[in-house]
Amino acid sequence: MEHNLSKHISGKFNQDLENVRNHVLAMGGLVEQQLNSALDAVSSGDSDLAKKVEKDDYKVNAMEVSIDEECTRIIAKRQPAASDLRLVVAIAKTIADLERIGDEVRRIAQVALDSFSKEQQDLLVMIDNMGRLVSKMLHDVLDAFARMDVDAAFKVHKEDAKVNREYEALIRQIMTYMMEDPRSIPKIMALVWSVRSLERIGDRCQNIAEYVIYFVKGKDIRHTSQEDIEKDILKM
Amino acid sequence: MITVAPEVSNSTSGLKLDLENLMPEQTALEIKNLDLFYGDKQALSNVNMKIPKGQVTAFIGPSGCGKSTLLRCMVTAFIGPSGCGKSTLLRCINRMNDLVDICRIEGEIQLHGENIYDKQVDVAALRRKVGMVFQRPNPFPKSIYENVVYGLRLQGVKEKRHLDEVVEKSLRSAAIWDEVKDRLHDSAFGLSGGQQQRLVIARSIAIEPEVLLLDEPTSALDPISTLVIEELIGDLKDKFTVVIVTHNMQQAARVSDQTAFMYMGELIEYSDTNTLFTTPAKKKTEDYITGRYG
Repeated sequence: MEHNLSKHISGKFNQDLENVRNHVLAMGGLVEQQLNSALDAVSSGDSDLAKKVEKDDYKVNAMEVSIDEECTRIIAKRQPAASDLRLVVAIAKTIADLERIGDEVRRIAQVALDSFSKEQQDLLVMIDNMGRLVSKMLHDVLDAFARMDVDAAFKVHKEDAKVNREYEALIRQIMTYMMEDPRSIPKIMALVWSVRSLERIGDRCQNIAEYVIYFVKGKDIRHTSQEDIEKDILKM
Repeated sequence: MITVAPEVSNSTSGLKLDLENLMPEQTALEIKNLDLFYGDKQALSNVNMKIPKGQVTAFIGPSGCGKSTLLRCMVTAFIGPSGCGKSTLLRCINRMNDLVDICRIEGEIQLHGENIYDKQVDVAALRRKVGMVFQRPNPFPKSIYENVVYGLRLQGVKEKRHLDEVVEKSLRSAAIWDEVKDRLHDSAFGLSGGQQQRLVIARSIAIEPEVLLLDEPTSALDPISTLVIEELIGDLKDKFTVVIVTHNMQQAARVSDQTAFMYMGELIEYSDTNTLFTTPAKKKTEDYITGRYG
């Protein structure tokens, strides 16, 4: 099925849908930039950058509110149906997940405000690795959203397993570290939270991938195993 | 007999009918290989569908796509005293003459298993089973009371108490009783458009048809009267099978259980309303309901 957004009889409706989609992409771009800045701040111990990330989170929040308003307006004025309706629903859900990613990014940035010993630096490097993996996932899912590409979205969907494995490995490592040096626990807990935040961002990227598939295929694939998605939905 | 389609078994959208494999006892109307020609022009081509009992089924599609023709096919054989006034009756008779001359119908329509185009069918008896309401309210120039009992009088019912009962029951079912109960013997023309339309519906259901056909029943009404009639349609389906033709897609989405999309005399897509308006299977349906048609 084609998804040409510029074929409505009503030009204004086209414009409204196109605008809201562009705003989502802009919001996604901002969140991605925030995540990368937070990771940079953590790996370089740059507390100024971390503070900027915290401060800029309000922009993400404001965008969520304004896109939400746009969606409400479209529903009220246009009564979208079929793929238009699915687009509006997918957008409303996507921006909610993007906003939550923004909150997680703030939590990650806070790590940069602490100072860490030499041994703890090793953990920071590992967090940075996991962070880059998650950042790529976010980038790819936004790309899939921009192109409404089901295959790319499904690839991101599968990628989350990798992030989860990384998360478990990292947590095990951190626990070993805490057992060896219990005095470090208060400080290390901040690292645990940030690792947890990264894992959550992975989950939210997976959600966005699901919305893309929902928009294009019209099937809600939440809580469906990946084998079933591959077998039943992508073949449609 | 209601089956849960596999794709909704884990969602909350509830039960839906398997329209292709409807059991005979669930089926009110069945249309088989129906072709209709006006002279050389084919107005309906190979329509096949089953319309379930006790549900609202909506037809949508652009003007001239064959919705009304299809509805008329279901009616032509039945049209009669059931809600037909003098002028309407005349029009029907005219149309039936038209039909004899230039209209050719192939295929069959079954009402509860009986082919309505079969030569053996007692047309008069069948005519009582299908009521029809048109785009513009067409009350007769009589009192409200006489409008409702018109069909019964034609059937020869005379007993006043029985007629009184039917009037109250029909007007109540049509959600207009409270507004007219104190002026039953005033002219029907004193009513507002929305009230007149509900009166016409009351007139159609007074003879207790099995199927009620509504051809654009709210297109001449204001939004509030429209909502009242839509609400009424929801109540009517408990007693009758309702088939509605509408240009207002939101209306089809609101009131119907099944929706059929027609285009150029063909039935393009026919499925439960929830599916048709969220995930239509055909590109043409998608384009039409999202305003990309043309």
